[in-house]
Amino acid sequence: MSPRVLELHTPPTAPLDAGPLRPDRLASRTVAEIERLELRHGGGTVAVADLFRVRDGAREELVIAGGSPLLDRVAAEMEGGRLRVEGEVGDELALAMRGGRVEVEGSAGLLAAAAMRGGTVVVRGDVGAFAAACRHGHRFGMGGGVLWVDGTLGPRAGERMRRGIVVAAAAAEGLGVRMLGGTFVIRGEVGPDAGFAMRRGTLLLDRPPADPPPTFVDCGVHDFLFVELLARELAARDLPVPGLRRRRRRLVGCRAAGGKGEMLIATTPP
Amino acid sequence: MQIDGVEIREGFAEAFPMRATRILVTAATADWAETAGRTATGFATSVIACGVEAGIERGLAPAETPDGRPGVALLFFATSRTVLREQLVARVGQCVLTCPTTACYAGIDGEERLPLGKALRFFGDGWQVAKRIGERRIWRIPVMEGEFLCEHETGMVRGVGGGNFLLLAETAEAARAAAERAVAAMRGLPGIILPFPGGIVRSGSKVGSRYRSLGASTNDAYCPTLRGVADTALPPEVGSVLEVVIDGLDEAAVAEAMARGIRAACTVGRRGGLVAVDAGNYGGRLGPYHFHLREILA
Repeated sequence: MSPRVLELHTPPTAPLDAGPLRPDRLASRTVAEIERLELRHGGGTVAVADLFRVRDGAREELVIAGGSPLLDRVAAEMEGGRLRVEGEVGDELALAMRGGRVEVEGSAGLLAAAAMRGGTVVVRGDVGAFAAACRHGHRFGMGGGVLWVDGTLGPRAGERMRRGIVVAAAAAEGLGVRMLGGTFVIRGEVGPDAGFAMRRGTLLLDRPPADPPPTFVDCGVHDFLFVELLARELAARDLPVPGLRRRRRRLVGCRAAGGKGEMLIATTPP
Repeated sequence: MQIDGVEIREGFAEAFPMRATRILVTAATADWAETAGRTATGFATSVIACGVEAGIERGLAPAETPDGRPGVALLFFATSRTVLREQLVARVGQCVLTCPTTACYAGIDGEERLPLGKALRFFGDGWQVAKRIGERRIWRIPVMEGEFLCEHETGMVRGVGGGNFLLLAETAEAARAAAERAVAAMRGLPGIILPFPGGIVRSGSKVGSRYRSLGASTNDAYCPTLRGVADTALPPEVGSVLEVVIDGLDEAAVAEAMARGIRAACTVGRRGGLVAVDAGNYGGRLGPYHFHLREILA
């Protein structure tokens, strides 16, 4: 059965809170009820029907056909089901999400997967700053689940992250700053200040960061069995990373913060 | 009832509730996994003096393990949660952590939990780190070889201990042949272990002793050399008895294993020297699980 579809016929003109457009929240509603649903739009509200054409289908899967950088809070606090966005989205994608699977065919804005607790988020483009970091006013960042980014992570991804896995092709400056746990897998370039004030957690890198931090200590080249578990977990989510388990140089830090975090930098080609 | 001329006696095995758990141990090779498994389940034949009854449930192919390496599934049974926890931590700590290339994972779900890495992580002296990967919380404990991976906890379930049957034969050779066939048929069945050496007991016990310091002593009713001086359960033609003991995760697993084992033992036949199959019990007053031989073979 084809999924339910919300076709964007009129792009929003101000930030739109798309948080209610979740498969788990809409599952019990009829098409008419969804069309009447009110969404915050800028300083006011709009009905779903003002922006979207609703087509009924399988209730566990929802497609938002069309995207906009003003579609904020897509899949925020989502607990289950599947959501696909055929376009780009705005800020706070999958904010505090707890379960299910989200796929965004474009890019996402600030705070993607911030404070996420579970589930899987796939972004086919780039994400903005503070991905997998803290939501506003909170102490901890991502606490579980998987964020997969085909493109580049924006600055300060994973700030105060505690658990979870983030995979991306590249990362801008400040990757994993003040990180408390969790794992990054970066398959390309990493900007400066990676791991600054990092306490725990793992940065699995294909190459050394642009500006290797002096507060990380070289612990030699080793083979890490836990990386095999990580590779299998990603493969189980249909997100395989070929050649993840390789011999890697272990840099431990940030020693300026008394940290036991680590960068595991591949020393052999995949 | 007879199978190949072997009498199946109107007896029943009396078994007891136990606390049980399963762990998975992997290693770089199947040999090292088996070495770790054998060591961790060594000296674990009977709760009478070993604290725990344990064994290798079966070998695991790489495709069956969390890290894609060969492994073994180990089962542990004890009379209480406290003893099981102490034994599990001690055995994994001394026999798996110390064994080259191994890693240790939970092998069973259960609302009640038993510590693995939760207790052993302190060996890392502050350098240990935890990783949550999927549903598993894994401790990475630095060791001289590299890293020992150990899951935080495993599950605990209620199991069944003390399923058994006795093979009454004309000679020791015939008893051993029958028992070996039984063990071969039972090894690798899911959810059971045969905790005694080679799966076979030559010294079945009864409860109590004339010596106050002993809680169990030789089962004189089945000792052929005492036939003339003690109350005996043996007919004149029986010259040797061996027992097979089964612990299982549930009644069905124990019953299935007993049935398979007895049928395999009976292939020796009356002509091969196997006279009868019996089972050990305490009159049915102590254990809630009664495995009637003729019922499980029906």
